[in-house]
Amino acid sequence: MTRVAVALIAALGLSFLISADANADPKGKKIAFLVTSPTHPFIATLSKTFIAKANSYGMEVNTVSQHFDAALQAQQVDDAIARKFDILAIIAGSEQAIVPALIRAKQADVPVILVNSPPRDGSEDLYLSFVGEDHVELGRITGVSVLNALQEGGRDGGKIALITGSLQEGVGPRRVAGFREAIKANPNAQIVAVEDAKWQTDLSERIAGQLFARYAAQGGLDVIYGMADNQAAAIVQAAKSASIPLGIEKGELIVVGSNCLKQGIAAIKAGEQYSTGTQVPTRTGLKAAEMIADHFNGKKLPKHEILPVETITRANVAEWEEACSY
Amino acid sequence: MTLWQRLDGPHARPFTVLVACTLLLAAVDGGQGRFLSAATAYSTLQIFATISLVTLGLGLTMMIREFDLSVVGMYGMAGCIAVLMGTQHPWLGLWFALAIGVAAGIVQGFIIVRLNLSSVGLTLGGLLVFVGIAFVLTESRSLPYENLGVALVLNERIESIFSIRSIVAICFFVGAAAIFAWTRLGRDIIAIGSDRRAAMTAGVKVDPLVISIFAFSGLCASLSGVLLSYSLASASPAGLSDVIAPAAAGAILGGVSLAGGSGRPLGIAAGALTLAVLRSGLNAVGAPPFVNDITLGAVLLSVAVLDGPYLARRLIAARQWWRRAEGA
Repeated sequence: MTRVAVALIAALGLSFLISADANADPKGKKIAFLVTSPTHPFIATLSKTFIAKANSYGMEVNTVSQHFDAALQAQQVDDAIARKFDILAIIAGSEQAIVPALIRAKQADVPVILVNSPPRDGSEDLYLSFVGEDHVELGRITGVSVLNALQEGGRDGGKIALITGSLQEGVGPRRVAGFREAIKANPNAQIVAVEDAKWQTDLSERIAGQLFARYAAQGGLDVIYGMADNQAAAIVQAAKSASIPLGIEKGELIVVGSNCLKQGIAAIKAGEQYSTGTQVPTRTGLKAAEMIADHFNGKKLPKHEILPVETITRANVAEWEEACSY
Repeated sequence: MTLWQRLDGPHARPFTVLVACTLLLAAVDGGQGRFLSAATAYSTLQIFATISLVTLGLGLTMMIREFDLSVVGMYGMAGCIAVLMGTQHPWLGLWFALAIGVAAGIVQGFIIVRLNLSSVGLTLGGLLVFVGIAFVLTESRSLPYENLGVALVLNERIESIFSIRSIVAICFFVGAAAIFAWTRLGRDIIAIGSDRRAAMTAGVKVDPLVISIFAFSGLCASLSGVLLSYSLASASPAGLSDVIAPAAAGAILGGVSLAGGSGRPLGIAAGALTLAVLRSGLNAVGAPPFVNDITLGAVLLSVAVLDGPYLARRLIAARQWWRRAEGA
């Protein structure tokens, strides 16, 4: 009798284990993928890579998107909760405005992975994991790159301007903070202007032209940091239009970028841009899908999966050319 | 009058379009319960709450042959003011923002009637001023609203499909419809939009009414902005949602003409609801993101074509020719 009871308990336990394994399999799981600004090349590539990788694990991805419309994204989160998706992967348009929707997801026991756009500090309880770069660090390595360029060109400091992505919240202010911190290492290097171009190429070109005019009487600018390579390309174009020589020697304008787009890679190879920073969408998309699969396989995810960042200059541009050309 | 003529009449058309869009989405869903569900109804009413009050205010200014572009700036600025002032006392932030919305509307309306200016130019100036003030107030940053309890309460489900935000919006439309139905205010507004000089001759107090409508538009935009900022627990000087395009589209779908002199509050509600149904419905049935824009564009285009006087004349001529042919 005792043996039968033990056998039954063992069988019952085994069946629970088998059942738990079956539930843990990512195959057949439904992901709601909430995307901000889907037509931007970076986001489009990230999304494509994420969906392909998730599908390869047998997961189904339902994508919804908006263009920096925080109200609509919050509503999309609510809809996804109501439609009982197994997990939400969110590229948040606003780190502040997404918080109430994350609270509702937590209340409904729907796990959330935040992708690329950094979450608001203090909201760690509301999401399972974040995957993306440390944008303070990305700003910091860009600042170090600027100091290196100034030193290589034999300049002891100089006037630096920043033409940035949106400074209201999120990536932009973080990168500016990191950049400022790095620049402090050389007291003769001065940040004289921080202009918000909202990641826009045309606005960046216009602002660069205005900056050239503003500082022409004071000997011109030494460096401009275009926060993304499309902006750096616009700065290069504006400099050419204003007949300002590009390069690192004295009297030349040093241009640095970030986000490693193909325009940046081409400009570095042509000697028109000194450096860019790694933020590779394919890497982020693949990692996000892998982490979701890991979650359904029962693995514990780190709260922050910070992807490594690196400066790309002429010295290592060949290494990154393929990853950054999308 | 045939059934089609009744359904295509100026007051019935917004509801016809709404019902047609609903039936179309229900057909696309094919009985899978994705569209005809409480979740989608709640989602629809939440979107309605976000856009409808601005649509109502803008629609009323369009009825008097004006256009209040400043709603966009007021929408964002009011949210920033409320978040800055209302962390400890949400009501204080709300009332302060509403007062500023009404005051700004009165000032704009007063300048328009006193100096006989174009409302488009003046309210464009208002828009830029309000956006500028919002950037100064927030130091060009998005603001977090730390009173998260308010955010959750505002979006909490009531009877499965409503929330406080959507109930407030519905109450505004019911109130506006009642005023149109039971007072002469509605007729006066339509008269001003049809022929301002004739309305004045007929004894309508045109100037105070124009100022009041701009004040009401400011009130609607500020209330909508505050409720959205509170519900998202944040405020942005650039605004948290695209509002002018849906509001103008909603008003046009609701039977309001840019030439003025037509429209009803319930029609505007139907127009805003049509937009909300399309957005949430297409999302629910899993349509790709671009389908929403294409569908909305197609609906607007259809309504615009049906509204065209030249097309109407051609249709009447064709019908007469058909009848003559039948008689022969």
